[in-house]
Parts: sequence; C-alpha cells; structure tokens
Amino acid sequence: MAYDLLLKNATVIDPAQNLDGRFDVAVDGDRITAVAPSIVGEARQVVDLEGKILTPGWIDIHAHIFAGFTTWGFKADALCLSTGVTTIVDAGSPGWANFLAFKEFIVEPARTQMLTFVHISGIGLTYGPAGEMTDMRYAAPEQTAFVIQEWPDICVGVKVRQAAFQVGDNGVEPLRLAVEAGRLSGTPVMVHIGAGVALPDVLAGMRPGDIATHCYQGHGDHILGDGTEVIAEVWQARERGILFDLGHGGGSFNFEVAKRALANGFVSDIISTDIHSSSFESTVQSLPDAASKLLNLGIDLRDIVRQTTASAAASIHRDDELGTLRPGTIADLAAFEILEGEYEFFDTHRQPHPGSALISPVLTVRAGQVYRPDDLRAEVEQEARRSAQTIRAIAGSNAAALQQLKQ
Amino acid sequence: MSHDLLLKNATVIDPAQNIHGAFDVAVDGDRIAAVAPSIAAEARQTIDLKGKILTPGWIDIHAHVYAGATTWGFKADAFCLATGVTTIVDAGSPGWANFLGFEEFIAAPARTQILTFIHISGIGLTYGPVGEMTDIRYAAPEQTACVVQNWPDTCVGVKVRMGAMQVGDNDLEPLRLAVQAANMAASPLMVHIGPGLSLPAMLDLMRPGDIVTHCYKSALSGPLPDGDGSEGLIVGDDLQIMPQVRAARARGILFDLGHGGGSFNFRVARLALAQDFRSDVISTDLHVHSLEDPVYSMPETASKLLHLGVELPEVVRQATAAPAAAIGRADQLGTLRPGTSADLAAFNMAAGEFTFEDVHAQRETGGQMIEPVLTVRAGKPYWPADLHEEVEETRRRARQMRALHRKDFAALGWTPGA
Repeated sequence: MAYDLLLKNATVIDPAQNLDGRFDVAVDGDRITAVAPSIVGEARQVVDLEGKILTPGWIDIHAHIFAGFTTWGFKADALCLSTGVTTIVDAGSPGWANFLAFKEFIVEPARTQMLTFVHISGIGLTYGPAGEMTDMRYAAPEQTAFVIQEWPDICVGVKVRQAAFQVGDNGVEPLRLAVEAGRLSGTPVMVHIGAGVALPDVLAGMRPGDIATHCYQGHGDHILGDGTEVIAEVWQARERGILFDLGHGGGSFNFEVAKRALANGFVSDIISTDIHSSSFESTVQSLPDAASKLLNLGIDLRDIVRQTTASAAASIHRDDELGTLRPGTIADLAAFEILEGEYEFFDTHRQPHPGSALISPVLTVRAGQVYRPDDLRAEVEQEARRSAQTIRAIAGSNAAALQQLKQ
Repeated sequence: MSHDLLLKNATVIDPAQNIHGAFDVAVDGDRIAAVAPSIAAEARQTIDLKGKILTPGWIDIHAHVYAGATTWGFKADAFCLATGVTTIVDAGSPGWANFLGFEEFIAAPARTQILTFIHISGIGLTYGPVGEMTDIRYAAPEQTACVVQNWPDTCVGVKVRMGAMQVGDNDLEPLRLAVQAANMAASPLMVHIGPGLSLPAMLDLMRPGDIVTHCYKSALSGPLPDGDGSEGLIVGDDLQIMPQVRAARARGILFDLGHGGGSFNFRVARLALAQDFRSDVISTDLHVHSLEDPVYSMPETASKLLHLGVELPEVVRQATAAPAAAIGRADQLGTLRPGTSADLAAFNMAAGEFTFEDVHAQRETGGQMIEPVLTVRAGKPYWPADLHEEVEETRRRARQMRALHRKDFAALGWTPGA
C-alpha cells in the first residue's frame, strides 16, 4: 500500500508521546498513519526533512482573527499555514451577538482549523477603543453558554478581560459571570490579567483548568506583585490546576518579568501569540517568533514544543485529537529549522534581548495538505498584512493610507 | 437585434419618468434597453405580464441585514428578490469597526444590491439589548466619515438613533456628532426618532436632505389605550402636525416610514394623512424581530399605505424614485430610463379581504394587497416560488436569533446547566 505523504529523516519531537529522535511519519488522507524510525513504503509524495525538526502542528490558543468584524481582527489563514500553526484559537473576539458571522465567514472557509473562546461580553472584542466590560449590561452568561454548547466544534470556552481598562469599576464581577458561563457550558475560562485589578482577587475567582493569559505582562498587577519574586498566590493557583498562558500581544510580554519568573522556575504552561491587527506587524510576528524568545531565555526546545502542542491541546480539551502525532489523529504537522546566528528580540516595552537561535518555519501540513511558506508569501501580503493595515488605517482615519491599500 | 429579456403587456408605473400605462420593457445584459408601448423585437426570454403592475425595482432604505454579526440582522438577499426589492439599504447595522465584514461578506456576494448607512457608533447595531449611544465613547465621527468616503459604492450616509433608550443621558450629543460625520463625508444622515427627546430640537440640527425615519411612530409602545393619535411623535398636543415638522419638510428634510417592530401606528398615520402629511419614502425597518410580524415585506408595508388611502402611483414613487433620490442614486436607480440598471419589480394587485396590523397589534381589514410576482435584478429574473427554500432558511435563522435575544432557551431546545 502506498501512503499519500511520507515525511522522512526529520528529528521528531512529540511530547504527547514522549518521542524525541529520528523518525519518519506517514500520512493517509487527513490522518497520521504511522510514526517509525524508518518507513520504507511507497508514497505519492515524499518530503525529505533531513536536519529539520518535525512536530505536531502548533496550536495558538490566543489570537484575534475575526477580520472585518472587529478592530483587532486580521486575516490569519495563510499566515498560520506559513508559520507551522494548524489550529488557531480566537481569544474572545466573537460574543454571542456576532458568533454566527465568525462561524460562517471566518471558520468555515479557512484551511487552518479555527476555534474560539466566546467572550462574556455579547459584543465580544468588536471595539478596541472602549473596554467591553465597563458596562455590565453587555455581560451575558446564558447566551454565551448556549453558543458554546450549540457549536462545540468551534467553541472551546469563555473569555473575559480583567484589567481596569476593560472592566472599569466592575472589579471581578465580569469574571464571576464568565465563570458562570464556563460552568453552564462545561468549558474553561480564559482570563486576561492586567493592571488595575488585584491578581490574587482574579486568581481566587478562577477554577482548575481555567487559563490566565498574559502571564509575563509587565504593566502592573503582574505575577511578581510589587516585588521581584513570583507571588505565593500564583504558585497556589498553579497548584490548583490553573494554567498560565504567555499571550504575547502588543503589550503583554516583558523580558524582565519573564526572566525573574524563569529564575524562580515559573515557566508558562502554554506559549501563545495574542497576534492581532496591531501586534503582528510590530511586536510579535508569529508563534515561532514568540517561541524563539523563550528559547533564547533558556527554555529547552522540547518544553517549547510541549507548550505549543500537547499543552495547548489539553488546555482547550482537544488533546484526544490535536497536538500529537499519534496514528489515527488528524495529520497536522509542522517542520522547522533552528537557525543559528545573532538575533535581537524585543519585548512589548521595546526592550531588546540578544539571541543566538531562531525557530524558522519550513513546512506546515494541515489535514494532510502540505503548505510551504514561499508559496503563501503573496497571500500573507494580500490577506494578512492588507487586512491589518486597512483596519488600522480606518482607526486612524488615514484616507491616504486607504487609497494606497486599494491600489 | 434581439433583446435578452422582454417584459410585455404590463401596466408600467415609473414615476421618475411620469410613465403610467401599457408598455413593454426590453433589457439587454444588466441594463434597461427600451420602454415603449409595444416592442416587437425578438428576445431570448419573453415574459408576459398582462394584468400585472411593472415598476422600477423597489428600494428599501431602512432594513437590518447584517446577519450573523448583529442581533438585528436577517439574511436578506433571497427575501428581497422574492418581494420586488432590488436595492436594500442597511440603516446603520455596521459601524466603522465592523464595516469591512459587511462589505466583504454581506454586500459583495449578494445578488440584491446591498448598501448601508454607517452608524455613528463604532460598533453599529451589534447588540440590541443595550443602547449603542448610551456610552458616547463609541461615537466616532472621523472614522465614520472615513468609511463613508472611502467606500462610496456601498455607503450612502450616516445613521444615528435618537431615542432615550439609545442615547441614555447623552441628549442631542450623538446627533451632533453624526451631523459632524455626515458633513465630513458630504452625505445624508438618517435619524431614528424616538420618545424621550425633543423632536423640534433634533430637526433644528438636521440639514436639508437628511432623513427622519419612523415618521408615523408613536411615543407609546405595546397595546394602545383609546386615544386620538396625539401620541404620534410628529403630532402636537393640538393634534396638528407640529409646525417644526412642516418647517423641516419645507427645508428639505425627508420623512421615511421605517415600519419595523415599533414604529408604525395606524392612528398616527391616519391623522398625518388627513392633514396631507405623507411620508416621502416607504421603508420596512425589517429585521430579526419584525420580519415575521408585523412587517412581513416591503409590498405589504406599501399595501398598508394603500389601505390608508394613498394612491398606487404615489406608493410606487415612495418605493422607487423617492428612495433613490434620498440616497443620492437617482441617476442610476429607481427608474426604467434606458441605460440604467435593469432592476424591475412586477406585482399583482390582489383584491380580497386582507388583515393589516400595526406595531400595537391594531388590526384593520383592507381590500387590496400588492403581491410580488417577479423581480428582475441586474437583468436576471427571479420568481418568488424559486426562492422559497432560501426564504425559509432566512426565517429559520431569524427565529433562532430572536429566541437567543429573548433568552427563550426552551425554543432553542437548551436548558442552562443541563
């Protein structure tokens, strides 16, 4: 029997199966068929990945991809497939009021698997300039839970943003209602942590399996409290099973906080980008870019791959089907090469950090289909960059930029 | 030469050209080719419309069609083509923040021409339960104008809703900012009028060419007590149309019907018509909550005016030439002038006993109903029967959103926490 696709000679890292070594991977249709030290069968397509790292397709659990319907969203499909990301999860851009547009116009036409947290605010993250939970009338636990349960193939949980900008005077009340929606739908809540609401109060309202995102943010009320050590409440939360997600974004990754935390042995559970219309052309280009920052802070490559595959899959309760190369699961894979050289990385406070290694995407396989970055370059330009630049130009009332984009 | 499509033997009413009589209409490609008492040329498709009324395609300047992205929006495309509507204008469902989704996924793929007013609130009408201008931070005159000016093929103007529910404590400020946006964009402004604010004060701020929508709205909602019609927003305590309303009309401000779920009152309409205060434009304000009851469609809304005594040519004018002019498109829409877009609508004037209902569940019996027979959009004919399944899907989706909005989880087959 001939395989549809045979990926040969790579160094395979699949933390879910404790695999780390030279393996071949065979794919039939949209499924993984075999992983073995050497597969000799025929195949319709053979790709030699000598010298490359091959992992399960990466899962980015925090991004904003509701392009056209929100000020944050950009068109992410081609960008994902050119950067090893086979599943991307929107962190609450849709609320119950506009979820169906997300499903019909974003998820269904995409090649990348697109999922979402549904925001506890009914309007989701439509409008960057105003905090979505400063007015509690937008909070809708029952409708949010209904949407999640009605469309379980797309919805992974509930989102709430718990910093002063988003909640105004409402304290942790939005979180309480988000947890109520999480309870009603039997799903995790992802909680954006940030300045202006005491982190211990936020963590106290969260349940095991809930996800604190922006764990290395440095704007205040962060994991170091007022000091230089990770605070006790954060350790206790981790002990209870609360997960800590990186969520890089445009403002939420601070080298100093990360370094202190890592020195304390506090490593993120999951790496995610919080990539959106503003951040992706400035502070964080891609998931491999965000992961490279951790690599250069001393995190082992295997742990990085665990965070972008098995851990990410488990956090959204999809580890039975995603984040592993176990035969029978969906044929989502990513190949990278680790480039060595002199690199300079920046955090969201424009602080530089020198690095010597870069995780560079080589190939993405999504549902058995092979995608190469070079073939997607024009699409990334036309879709991802143009969509991000267009909404930014409208936000800035920049008619000249819009005219240029239309040409 | 043979035409692509020939519509024969109808009674043609085209108020823009002062045409009313037996005419044939020929179409080539997506353009009107000829209108004449008898066209003898060959045609690839000939449709006999004997006994039917044939008019320019109807233009509904107030509806909510941003389905999936707002709690109001319904999937309008097939519904329009099944009811004689060739151009439908969303009255501000998109704001600047979510306009691009409207442009790409609603307007561009549709067979019906779908246009929009951009709401002065950046989130538009995403969320029915909360007034969109109770928080003035959502008002964005510059971004709104930027979108209207840069997407002139889709955007016709600016929208603001001026009732207490929508503006909270912000009084006239949303209207001021909307006028500012409309000035910057050099486009008309559509103003929803509602209870709780001074209509004369609003009219003072409006400019010639701006549009008041919901002109026959009552200050009351729900079942009406016995009364005289003085609850009408445009009616004074003396039961007369307010002098400021007449002065506004004299200045060139337009009055649009905007039926909707809460904005058409038989008593008010009758009082206004008795004083010869007619709407300038008929529109439906169709949305998720008004689609099945009590609006139904543009022809049914028009039939209500017919029932109240407005004559058919005037009704057709308010559904064709007048709305085209209101949105600045009279050069290309709302007429059968050769060279314009081949958008047409044929109707049957059905006689019988028909029940008409206003938004207060007041029921009246009328003798005539304007029934859609055929729609031609950009030269392509559509028959209501062929669109039946798509229209059913429209209704199903609307019912789902309505139930979700009302938290009628039983109707959705869902028990919270089960």
